[in-house]
This record gives sequence, structure tokens and C-alpha cells, in this order.
Amino acid sequence: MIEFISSQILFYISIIFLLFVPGYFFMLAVWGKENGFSSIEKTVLSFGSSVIIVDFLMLIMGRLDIPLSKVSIAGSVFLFSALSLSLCLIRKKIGAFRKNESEPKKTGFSYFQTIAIISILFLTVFIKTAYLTNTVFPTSTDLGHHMYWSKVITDTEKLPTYEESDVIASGEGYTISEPEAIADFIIGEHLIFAAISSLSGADFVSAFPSLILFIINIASVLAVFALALEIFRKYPQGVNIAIAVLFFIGPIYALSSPQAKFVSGGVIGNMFGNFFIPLALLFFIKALREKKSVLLATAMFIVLGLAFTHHLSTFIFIFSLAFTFLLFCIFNFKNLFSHIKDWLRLLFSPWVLGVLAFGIAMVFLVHTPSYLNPSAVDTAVGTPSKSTRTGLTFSQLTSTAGQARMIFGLLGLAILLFSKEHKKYGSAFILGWAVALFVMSLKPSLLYVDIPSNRIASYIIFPLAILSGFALIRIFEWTKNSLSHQSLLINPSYIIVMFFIFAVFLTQGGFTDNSSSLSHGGNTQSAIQTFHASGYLADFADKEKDVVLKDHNYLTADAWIKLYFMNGYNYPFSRGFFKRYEDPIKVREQCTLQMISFPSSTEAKKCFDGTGTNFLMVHPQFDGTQFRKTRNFWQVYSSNELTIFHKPQ
Amino acid sequence: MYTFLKKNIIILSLGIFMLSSLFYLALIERKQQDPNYGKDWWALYFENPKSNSLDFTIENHSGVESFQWEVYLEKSKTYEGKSELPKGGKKTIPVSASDLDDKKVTIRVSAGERTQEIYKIITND
Repeated sequence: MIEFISSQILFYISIIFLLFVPGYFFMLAVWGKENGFSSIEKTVLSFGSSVIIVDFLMLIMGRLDIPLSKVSIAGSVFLFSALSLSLCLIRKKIGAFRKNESEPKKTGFSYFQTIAIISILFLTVFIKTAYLTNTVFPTSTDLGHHMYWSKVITDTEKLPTYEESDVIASGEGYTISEPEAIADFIIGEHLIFAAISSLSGADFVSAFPSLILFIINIASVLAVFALALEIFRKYPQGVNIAIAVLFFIGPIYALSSPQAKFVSGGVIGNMFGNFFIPLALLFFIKALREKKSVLLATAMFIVLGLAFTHHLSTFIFIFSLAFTFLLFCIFNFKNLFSHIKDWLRLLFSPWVLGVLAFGIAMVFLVHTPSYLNPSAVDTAVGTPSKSTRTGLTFSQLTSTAGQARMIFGLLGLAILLFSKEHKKYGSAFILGWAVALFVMSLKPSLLYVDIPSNRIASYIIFPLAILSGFALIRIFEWTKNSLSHQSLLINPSYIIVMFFIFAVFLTQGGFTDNSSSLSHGGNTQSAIQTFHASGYLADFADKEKDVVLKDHNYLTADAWIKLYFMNGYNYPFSRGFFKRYEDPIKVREQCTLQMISFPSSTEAKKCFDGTGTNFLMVHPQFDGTQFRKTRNFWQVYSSNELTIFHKPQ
Repeated sequence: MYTFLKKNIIILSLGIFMLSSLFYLALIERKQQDPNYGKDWWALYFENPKSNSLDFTIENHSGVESFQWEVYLEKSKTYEGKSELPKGGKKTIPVSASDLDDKKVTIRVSAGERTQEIYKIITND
């Protein structure tokens, strides 16, 4: 137990050191201590910029061939923080902060508002924790794939080369290809996990990756709250709207995608995207409202971090920004020229140009994100190529967003659109964000978007939560006003009843969704057996000679097996989902299917000969019989959920 | 100090919630990683999966403690024995045999209602 507690303390120290310290000192260097940000803004900015700074420090060290060890990571973060603090002190001495101070905020919360916020946050954390109790164990496929690359960084102390070998046809037979580049992974998804593991010694096959994702999820809830506070800052009920937003994004629908389910599912890129997008929007709005180039530079720095972390989120952000720009131009057509002048003044400033130059240097001199190649761009842009990419129906989108959130979100959108505030920056941003996601999810062909529509749709909950909170409080405000003006045709008591029906409806919908997502028990027993068998085989497997094939259909946590071998992303090879072998559009190799499903067939024999596959990890009940029928295999390991067959050469 | 607490009460509260949650989840996951805690499974494997050695190991993570093992040469039983293994226990049983050319040697182990087997077909090249 003492060992566990000390490892936990080290883990939390690593989290604070890597995920808060560099960003906090960076913030001090740019704005000084009295910066006008609220404590919530400081927290989300410290966290977001820390992630980006650690990523960039590791990328620069990797480019300079400095080993990414515990010492170099800790040293570079310490050095960066110390330099930032020195810069802060120097700038303070020369009085540089006065002109860069952000506008003082007046977002102090009342006693009851503070209690409401703390209660909502408590409920949010509590519900998610209850869900994660049964799902925090490392079993998810996506997380297993991602953690392989993070472990590569920790093990080799180098940046990974994203490539994999595959089974390919060769003449009459089959062989294993030379490693080929894969564009599915982006370096920012893996660096922070590698850094935390290096510093804390946390094992990748543990709860630690999910716990980090949980922190990111809560940070995104906080970022949306901060964004709502900023958008509705000038509204008389601004703080209450933001609290309603916190309720819509926090405890209700707390588990459905892209929230806690993405935490345990290991959808790292989306999790980061859902944090960085509202954070970047927050600083874009602040920059334009306060006309401060340093705030715009911060927003762009966050977008740069996003671009090094997740391509889909970056893509969505660009579309959201484009829609915002379009809507703002339409709404403010008369004064457009003066706005453009303001924008140009902000853009052509040393801060913004500095970030742009830094971004260009990072992309072209330090590390080019893997998705910036023509084939990856082709796969995301163009006429939708598959039925899953041609857009969702409205009912599918409603089910993704949550019925209550969709209804109130649309109400909020309509109210905002027809209100006099729609010309403001805050309104334009939230409308642009929501409309972009509606079009991208429902009619992607209009925008030439060729990305799975359900993946885009998962992003819509954030703008919808903001619009829902706005709608709810606006309706409440109208109700309250109508009560003070007795000239209404409708009896005010009916309005009160209607309001409470609304409130019950959205609460019930959100909590029903939570309860349906809660699982009664995890599959840890099966996963433990997978890990045990993997450890057993990894002790004997010769990385040069032995080739392992495992099944993805019936084995639990099979994506994590590769972390025991660390012999390539596709080691062991995998028999994928059966339907993949029948895909008429993308014809796939059949060897991985044949070698497990029909090991005695002529085709399978060719595959065994060509690939050298000599170990097979399969489920004993579903795939054991076909091996036991022949005398070509040894059954060398057996447990309730997994068995290993060996094909002696 | 009071001003600091007042200004940061929301973030501090959230920090406490998160710290408690993370610690609790890590503790839960630590128990889940324990192959014995709340588990009911056992494994049977050859000490060396690649060589001709027939030594095998039983690893118990179930509530059953009595294991009965049998060694078959093709279909005839040649050895048998019993082992008592507490939960978390592990035992390696040596098996020596000769003249096994192209013969299937099967190790069958039963515990409670469950039986598992492993085998090798040795060729003396």
C-alpha cells in the first residue's frame, strides 16, 4: 500500500509539473500576475498551454536528437518555467504589463451562484467517476493503439516513426511488407502520455491514460463554462446563463459520447479537440472584443497546439471559424470596413506574427504533422465516398446530441439569431460554431467534407450546450418578466408550470441517458487473462523469427497485446472484424482471416509459409476446434478466455 | 489567505473532487489488476512453448484449490497426479518422456467443473 501511495504522489506531482506549471509560468511571462483573468480562465489556460508547451519542447528536443528521457523532459520544462518567470520579472520591472493587461473582469459569483457551480461540478465528477469505476481498466482498442506509440517514445526516448508492416500478396503467395507510413496518428496525441509515464514511472497498461483523459474531459467542461461566461459577459443574466451551460455540459449526458465514454474509450484526439476548440474560441472572442493582439496570438498558439494534436478537430475548428466570419460579415455588413481595419491591426502585430512564424518553423523545420500529406488530405476533402460519410438524419443527430439539448439548443439558436445581440462577436462565434457543425453533420456534401458523419456530430454537443443554457435562462427571464406584467393573455401560473416541465424534461432526459450508459461490471477478468498470456508469450518470442497473430473479434483488450512485445504497430497481426474482409470498396488481405478461421486450408498454408506466422492467440471456445483437428499445431497455453497455438517450423 | 480561498474556491473545490476521484479510480484499478482479487480463472501452460520440453505449469487464480492432472500419450493415459494450489499459487510439474516421435502428448488438468488441456506433437528431427 505504501508503494501504491508513493507512486500516486509521484503521479500527481508529474501531472502538476507537466500539465500546469509551464503554462502557468508562460501566462505570467505574457501577462504578469495581475492579468485580469478569472481563476477559471487561468486554470484552463495553464492546462492548455502546458500541454502545448510540453509537446513543443519534446518535438524540438526530438528534432535536435536529444534523448526524450526523464531528465531531459523534466529539465526542459523546468528551464522553460524558469525562463518564463525571469521574463515575467524583467517585464514587470520595465512596466511592460500595464499595456497588455486584459480588461478587468466583473464575473464575481454570488454566494448562491458559487454553491450552484460547486454542486454542479461535484455532480459531474461524481457521475463520471461512477461510470469509470467499471471502465477505467485498460481494455479499449483505441487507447491500446495510442498507448503503443506513447510507449515507443518512452522506450526509445525518440519521436516515433508512424509506420506499420502488413501482410501483402507476393507472386503466388504472401509476405510481410516493409514498414509503410500511416497518417492516422498525430504526434500530439502521444507526447504528453509519454512525458507523464517517463516522469512518474506509471505503467501504460494501467488506469493512468484514462485518468489523464478524465482530467482533459473535466478541463473541457471548465473551458466551455469559461467560454459561456465570456460570451454572455454583458448580459444581465450572463452568469446564470453560464451556470445553466455548465449544467448542460456537466452532469446531464455526462457519460455519452464524447464525454466519459470517450475517456474510457481512449478517443484521445477528440478529447483534446473538445478542450482546445472552446479554449481557442474564448481567446478569439476576448481578442476581438478587447482588440488586443496578445490575446489573438494566444488563440492562435492554442490552434497551433490543436493542429499538432488532432486533424479532425482542427478541420472542424477551421470550418467553425469560416462560418463565424461569414455570419459576422452578414450581420455587420454596414460596419464591415471598420471591423476589417481592426482585424488587420490585430493580425499585423508582433505578437501574432511571432506566433505565425513560430508555427511555420514548427511545421517546416521541426515536425510536419503526419496528416499533412496529399493522401490524407484527399481522404478528408471531397465528395463523400461512403454511406457513413454522407450525413446523418436529423433524428440520428438528435440522438447523438441528446433530445433535450437539441430542443433547447435549437431554441437558443433561434432566440440568439433574432435577438439584437446577434451582431456581437460572442453571438457570431457561437452561431458560427453551431451552424458549421449542423451543416457538416447533416449535409457534408455541401462543404466537400469526406469524414465519417457520426464523428463530426459528436462535436455538436458543446455549442448546443451553450445555446441550451442561453435558451433556458432567456425563457426563465421572459417568464419572470411576464409575471411582473400582469397584462399577459396567458395565466402566469401556466408559464411557471411550463418552465418547470421544461426543466424536468431536460434533467430527466440527461440523467436517463447517464443511467443507460452505466455498466454493471467490467470485463477485467477477460482482460487480465489477455495480459497474462501476452506476458507469457512475450518472454519466449524471438522478435526476429517469431510472428504472432491474434484475434480481434473474441479477445478482450487485444489491442494492448502489442505493448507486451513492442515489436511494431502491427505485431501481433490481427484478424479484424469479419465484415472488413467482405468490404467491396477496399479489398483487404485475407491471410489474417484464413490463418485463424481455416488454418488447414491451402490458402492458409500459403499464408503461414509466406508470413512465417507461428503463434496464434485465439479464444478457446470460438476458435480452438479448427486447430485441435490438425496435427500441425501445438496448444501451448490455455486459460478460460484465451489459448495460444504454436506452429512448429 | 481568506481572499485567496474566496477567489479560488471553485477551482480548489474542483481540485479536491478530482484528486479524490483520481485516487479512488487508481485504487479500484489496482485491485482490478490483481489477477486474484474477485477473479475466477486459472491457466495451464508449457514451461517452454517452443522446445520439446513437456514440463508444464498450473497457475491458479480461482477459488478451487484441488487440481488433478493427467498426461496422455496419444489417447492413453501415462501419468496422473494431484496438486493443491491456493488462490494465487503456481506449480510447475516436470514431465519426462522418451520415444515420442510424432506422438501427441496431451496434458489435461481438471479443477472443479472445468478442464483445460495443452499438447505438443514432438518430432525428433
